[in-house]
Amino acid sequence: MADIELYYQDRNPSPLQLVWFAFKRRLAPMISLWLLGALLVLVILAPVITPYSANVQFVDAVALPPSWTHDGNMQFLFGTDDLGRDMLSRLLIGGRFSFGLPIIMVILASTIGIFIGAMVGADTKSKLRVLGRTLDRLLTIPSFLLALVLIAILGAGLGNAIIAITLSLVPQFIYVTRNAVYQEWQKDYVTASRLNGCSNTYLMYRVILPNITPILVMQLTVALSVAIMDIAALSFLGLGVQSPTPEWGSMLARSLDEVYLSPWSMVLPGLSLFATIMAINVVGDSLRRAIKQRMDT
Amino acid sequence: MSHLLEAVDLFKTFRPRRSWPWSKKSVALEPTSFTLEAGETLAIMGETGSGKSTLSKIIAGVEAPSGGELYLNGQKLNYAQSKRRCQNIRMVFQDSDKSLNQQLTVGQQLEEPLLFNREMSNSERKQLIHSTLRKVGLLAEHAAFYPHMLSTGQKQRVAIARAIILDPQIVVADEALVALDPSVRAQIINLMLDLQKDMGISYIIVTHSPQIVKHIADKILILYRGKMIAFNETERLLTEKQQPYVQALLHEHLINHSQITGNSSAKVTE
Amino acid sequence: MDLLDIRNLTIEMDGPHGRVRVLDKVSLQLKEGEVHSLVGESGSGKSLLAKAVIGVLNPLWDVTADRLWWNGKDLLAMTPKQRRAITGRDMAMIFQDPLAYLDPNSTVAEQITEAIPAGDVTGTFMHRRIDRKTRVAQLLHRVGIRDHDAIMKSYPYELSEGIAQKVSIAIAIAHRPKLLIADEPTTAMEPSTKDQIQRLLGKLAVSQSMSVLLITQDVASILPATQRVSLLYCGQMMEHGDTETVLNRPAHPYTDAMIKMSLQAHAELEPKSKLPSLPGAVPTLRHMPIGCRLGPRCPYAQKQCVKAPLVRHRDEQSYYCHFPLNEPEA
Repeated sequence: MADIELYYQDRNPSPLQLVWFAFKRRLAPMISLWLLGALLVLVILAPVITPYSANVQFVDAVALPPSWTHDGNMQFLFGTDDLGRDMLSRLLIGGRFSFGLPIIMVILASTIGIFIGAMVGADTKSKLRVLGRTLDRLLTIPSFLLALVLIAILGAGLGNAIIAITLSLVPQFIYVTRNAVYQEWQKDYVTASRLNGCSNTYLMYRVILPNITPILVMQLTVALSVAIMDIAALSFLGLGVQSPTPEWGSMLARSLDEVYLSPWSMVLPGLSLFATIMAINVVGDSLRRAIKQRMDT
Repeated sequence: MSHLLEAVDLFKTFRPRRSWPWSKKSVALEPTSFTLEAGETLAIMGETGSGKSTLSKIIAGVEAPSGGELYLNGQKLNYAQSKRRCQNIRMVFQDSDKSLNQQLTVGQQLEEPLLFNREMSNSERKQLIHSTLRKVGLLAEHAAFYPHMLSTGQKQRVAIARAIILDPQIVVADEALVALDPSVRAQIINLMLDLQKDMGISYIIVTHSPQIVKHIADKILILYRGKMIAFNETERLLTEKQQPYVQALLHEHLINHSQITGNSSAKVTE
Repeated sequence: MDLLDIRNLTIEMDGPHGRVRVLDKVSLQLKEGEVHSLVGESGSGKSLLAKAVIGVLNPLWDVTADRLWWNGKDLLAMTPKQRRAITGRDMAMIFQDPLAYLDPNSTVAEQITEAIPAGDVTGTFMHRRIDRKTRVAQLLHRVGIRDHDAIMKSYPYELSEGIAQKVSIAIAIAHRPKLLIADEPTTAMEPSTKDQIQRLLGKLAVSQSMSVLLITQDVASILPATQRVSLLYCGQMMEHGDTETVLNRPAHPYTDAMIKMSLQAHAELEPKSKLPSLPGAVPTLRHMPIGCRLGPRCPYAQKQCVKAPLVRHRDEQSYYCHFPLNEPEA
């Protein structure tokens, strides 16, 4: 017996806290979460901590390998690309577009989606239900394809890519929120609150929302990884971020030509993409497991 | 003098799923009339599917009736008048687990009806919540608890506290006593009887246990396939001769087995 | 020899707040053809006991017992495969909610046919088909369903509660088990349906010569045919013995309270009078009392009760209490 409680003291964690405790107990998701946190800090601080500007070209150091190789130079930690631009700076600045932008897009999409989804889900008459059904049909089109179609209409460019991806993420949020709200609406505790004379806004925010938070957070992680993939893919195709702006996807596309000469210019952005998406998926998956564990006990 | 609650020809029909707009509607509850006085307990009995739950839901305001009127203290009560209804008629659900919000503390849940129905300051509200919790046999400290920390009996007490916090005239309990453990059930019945004595609450109780009905009900209303076939004082229903269906419901040991089997298998072949 | 012989069965699990003993040295003997009722409120571990016998407990939990014998064979020493063979052949279980247990996507006939052991029907393809159909009809008749044609074709959601439970009983007895465990089969049912199911179980115990272990939360819903009854509280055995003796002359305060709290007893009281009840609530797993777990709620408890009482015997009953009630005059 390590700790003996002399006086009986009861902690009273809320169900959401319990989910967090279950989540915290596992190692892999915590590492992933720390990784994502560190990445976010790096991305926010990127202009301050990058050694060079992302687009400045060092003529005397073209296609320099990373510093830990024999030919490397400590001045350029991750080496330089074929135009002599510092890889580290490009990766960090690129992270703003590859990781920072998707976060903003997901926040935007979730705000719109959750709002519409909640309205449709709580609606008992058939007016809004038609809207919900129509948006469901949109789900049959993969979000990337939807983004491509929108780009085709709007034209290529970073701004249009942001709009396209954001819009293509919205239907998923509407779908998930609508179903969750609809399911909760049938339950006894909502009826009880309704009989308390609660207003609809109160019902939505104080009664239902806390109960569907885990589902929404899970959807957020899914949407975030989709958004990262989408913007990288669009930039890879040259439809999103335009050169010379660094972005992990466009960096990958550029590196295709000289992959045999300077493999690091492909491996580094690829690894960053992989690590980020991996971490997000691990977090989302563990969250699902933690919620399930909480339900079972 | 007007009655506390008077129902006149309440009925409920609904359209079965996947039916044509012109096809006949199913009847969940045929026109039913009854009265309830202050401080009385009315028990609604019947088989599964007899419409007893529907009737209780209409009274509590969960569902709108398809027609008929409900008078509270002689004044007509519309379905849309949620404020007046929820201050006077409150409901206790069958499963306290499902009827409490898992994400809010007991205190927050008890605060909910007060926020929308009473003009009170924060400290007054807190005071009332604490005194109500004590009234149902819990401690004031339970206000900080989340439902998952409480036992079944305590959860049911919280549900009752939520029902009585607005000082209602009628509490509707839909099968709230069936699935409880014996010791908890006895405690809850005792609590309900105490509250009735102290606050003069009328109960409308839906149950199929004749023993509980005999113990607490003043009047019994018996439904059979949506139709009211008996409505009378408990003593008279128990002592006078009744239809076989009523007899079977009220006197468990007198069940005519062949008749009951016939009934329930007919339900399947229908 | 006893069909099922359990001595000092203990189940421990690691909860979020440390190790808890959910079943504390429970002993139970079941003879062949005996109807045994296991009474306990929620949290008493009565379903755990049934699961331990069937062998479907969470593998992370510690199950220890001085003896867990089935027909003289040690169940705990067996490999999972051997154990499944015995469970599948000789035991069957029915549950509180038959609709959750029946497959919603197949008809009653299909589900019963599935449960008929392959060795029962022989011959050519057509013979087997006809044989199976008659067997299904037979089984339905045996559980008191007369219009088997209509029922066979229907899906579970079309059945009323009582009929559905009867169908699940028909499935359970299809392979002629030696033991039927009924886990609160009538708890949420109406009185008339409840009565039917109880009679049916009693009748089947005799006609199929199988043992029935009925799990229930109320003394009032034990089977009329029950020969022996056990009372469980918070994972501890309180009292067990011959039904007549235990119910008429309970030795344990808990048994006494359960009898007084049962629905039948309410009917004899003055309307609107106070019902007798145990004070307090069932303790949670975190705060189990030491010694006799009834202690804090027991009206007769004294200092000694913090030590777990040893089993004592009196005529046909055994009980675990320091201060038994209804002692015969010395």
